[in-house]
Amino acid sequence: MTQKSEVPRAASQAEPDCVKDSGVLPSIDRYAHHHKAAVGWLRRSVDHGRGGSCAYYLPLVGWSDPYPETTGYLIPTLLRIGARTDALGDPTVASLADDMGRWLLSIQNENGSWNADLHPPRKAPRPSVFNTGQIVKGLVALHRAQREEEWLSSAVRAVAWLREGMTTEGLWPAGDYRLGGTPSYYTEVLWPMLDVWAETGDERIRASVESALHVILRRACPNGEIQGWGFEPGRPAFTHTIAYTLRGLQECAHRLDAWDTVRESVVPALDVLLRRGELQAGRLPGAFSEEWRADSSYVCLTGNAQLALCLLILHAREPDLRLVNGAARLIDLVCSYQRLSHPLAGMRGGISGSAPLYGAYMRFRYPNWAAKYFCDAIQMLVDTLDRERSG
Amino acid sequence: MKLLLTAGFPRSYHTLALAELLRRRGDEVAGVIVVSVLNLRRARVLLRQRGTRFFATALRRMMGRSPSRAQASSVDPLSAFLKEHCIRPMTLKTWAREHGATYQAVSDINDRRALDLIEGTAPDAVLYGGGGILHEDFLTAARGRVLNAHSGPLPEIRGMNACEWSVLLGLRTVVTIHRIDRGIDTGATILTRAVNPEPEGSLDDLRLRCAVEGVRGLLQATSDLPENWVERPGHHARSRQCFIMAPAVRELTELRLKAQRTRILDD
Repeated sequence: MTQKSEVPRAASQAEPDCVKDSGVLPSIDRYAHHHKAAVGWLRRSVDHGRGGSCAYYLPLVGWSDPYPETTGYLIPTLLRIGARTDALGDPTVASLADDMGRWLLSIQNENGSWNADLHPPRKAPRPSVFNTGQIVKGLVALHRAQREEEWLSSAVRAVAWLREGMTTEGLWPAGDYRLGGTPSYYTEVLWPMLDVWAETGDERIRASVESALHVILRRACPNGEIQGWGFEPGRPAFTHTIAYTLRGLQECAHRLDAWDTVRESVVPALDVLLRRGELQAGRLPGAFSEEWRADSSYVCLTGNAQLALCLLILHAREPDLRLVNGAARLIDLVCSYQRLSHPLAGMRGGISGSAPLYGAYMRFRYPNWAAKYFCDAIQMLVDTLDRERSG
Repeated sequence: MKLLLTAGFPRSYHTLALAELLRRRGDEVAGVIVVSVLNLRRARVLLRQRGTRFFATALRRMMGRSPSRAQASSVDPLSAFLKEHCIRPMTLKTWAREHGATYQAVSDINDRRALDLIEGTAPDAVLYGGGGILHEDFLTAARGRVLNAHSGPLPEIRGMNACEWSVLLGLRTVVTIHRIDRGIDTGATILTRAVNPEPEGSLDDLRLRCAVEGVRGLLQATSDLPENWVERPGHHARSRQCFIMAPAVRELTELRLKAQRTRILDD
C-alpha cells in the first residue's frame, strides 16, 4: 500500500525560488493545506469517539475506542487552533475541546486518577500515572482558556494523586503499565504537574517535581542518550518516547527557569537527532538502541513531528536557524506521507504511526496523537517562519 | 606546480575552468579524478540526502547545463566565466584527452584507483572540486595538501549550501580556500575572497558566482608552492553543521537576499 501524498506540490518537492511578491512564503500555504487535512481527521476521530477522541484508525477495521490519555493532550491543540486567526485557525474546534474535557471529568476516578488503556477498559481498570499526567495538560489548558474552576479542581485532585504515588526518591514505583521502574519519558508527567503548581502556587508540587527531575537528569549519558527513555528497558526506544523525554525536560526547564541545569541533558541528544535527520532528508530512523544504533527500516512519524517541536523550542531559547531547517525537514517528511485525499475518511488527512505503514511503531494504525503532534509542529514552524520573515 | 583535480560529475564546468586556467598558466594538471554519477550507491545516498529535486539538477548537469538555469538570471555567471576566458564547454574526459592528463573515473572518491593516481603522480596539491567526503587514506596519500573552495565564511558556516546559509544568517558572502582535514570544513584557511550579490541575481546566481570565485581563489592559492602558503590554523567545530536547506527555509533565504539587494541598491 503506498502512502504518498497526492498534494500537487508537497513541501518536500517544492520549487523554492518563488517567494510571492507579498513576501508570503509559499511553503506556509502548503503547510496550511496539510494542517487543515489533519484537523479534519482529528475532528472525525472525535465524531467517532463517543465523547473522547478515538485512539487510532485501523484500515479495514475502523475507528478504535476513545483514548482518555490522548484526548487529554489533544485539548490544548484544539484550543490553539480555535484561537488562531490565520490560515491554520478553525474557530469551530474549540467547542470540541470543551466537550472532550467534560467527557474526561465524567470518567475521572474517585481518587483523582484516570485509568490506563482505551475507554471503557477491557481489563480490570488500572489507574495510570502517565495517562493522568497527559489529561492534566488538557484540563489546565481549559482552565486557562475559560477560567472555570471545575477544570482546575479536577487537575488539582489528579496531581494530588500523582504526588501521593511518588517515593522519597522522587519517582513512581507503581502506576506504569510496564509495572517496572519509572521511564525517563515521565518528564511529560512532571510538566503538567508544574502547570498546576503555576496555577495554585502549591510549593509541595514544585518540590516533588524537582526531586523527580533530578533523578531523570542523572540518567543522561555522555553520548547524549538518556537511559530509560524507551517503553521497555533494553529494547530500542522509539523516537516518540525519546521526544517525550526531551520535550518534558524542555518544558520543565522553562517552568522552573532551570535551563542551565537541563541544557546539557537535552542539547547533545537533539544535536545527534538533528544531524541524523538532516543526513537522511528528514527520514529519521524510527528507533534507537544504545550507542545510537538506529533502526532505519521505518520512520516513526509521530516522533518526527515531536522532535521537530523540540528543535523549534530549542531555537526559541537559543536561536539557530539550522534547528528550524532540521525541523522543517522532519515535518516535510511527515507531509509527504499524509494522504490529502482518500476514499476512506479514516486515512484522509491522518498520519500513520510508521512509514511504511507496516513499520514497528503503531503498525498499520493512524493514531490520533500523530495527527496532534503534526498539527502542533506545523503551527510552531509556521509561527517561527513568520517571525523570521517579518523580523 | 603539479596538481591533481577532483570533480563530482563529468561535466563539472568549474573544474573544467580551473583545469584549463591552470594549464594556461603553465602548471601541470597531472590528472582528474571524477566520481561517476551512474552508480547506484551514490544515487541512493544523494537521493536520501537531497530528495528527488536532486535528480532534476543532476540531469541538467549531465546535459552540461547549470544547476538551476531555469531559475537563474539570463546570464549564468559560470557560463559567462567560461566565455570570458574562451573555454569551450566539454566533458573533463575530453579535456584530459586533449591535454594529455590522466582521467580517472571512480565510483567513490576514496576508491583505491584514486589513491593510486595520487601516489603515482605525487602532486604538489590536490584541488577538490567535489566528489564526496574524503577519508583519511585519501588525505594521507595527498600528504594533507588538499585544497577546497568553500562558499562561505569559516568557521561560521560549515557544511552544505554554504553561500545560502551565509545569506540567511546575515554573514558576509565569501569563498574560503582551505585545506581539507578530517573534520567538516575545519582545516586551515589559506585565503578568502568576497562575493557580492548582484542587484538582480537569485540565490542560484549567487551560488554560481561563488563557484566562479572559488576557481579564482584556487588559482590564487596555487600561484605559490604549498611550503609558502600563509595559513590561519584550523579550528574545532564550534557551530552546528549546515545542511541542505528545506524548501521553506530556502524561501526565507530568498527573501533575505532580496532585502540585502535592496539595502545595497539604497546604499
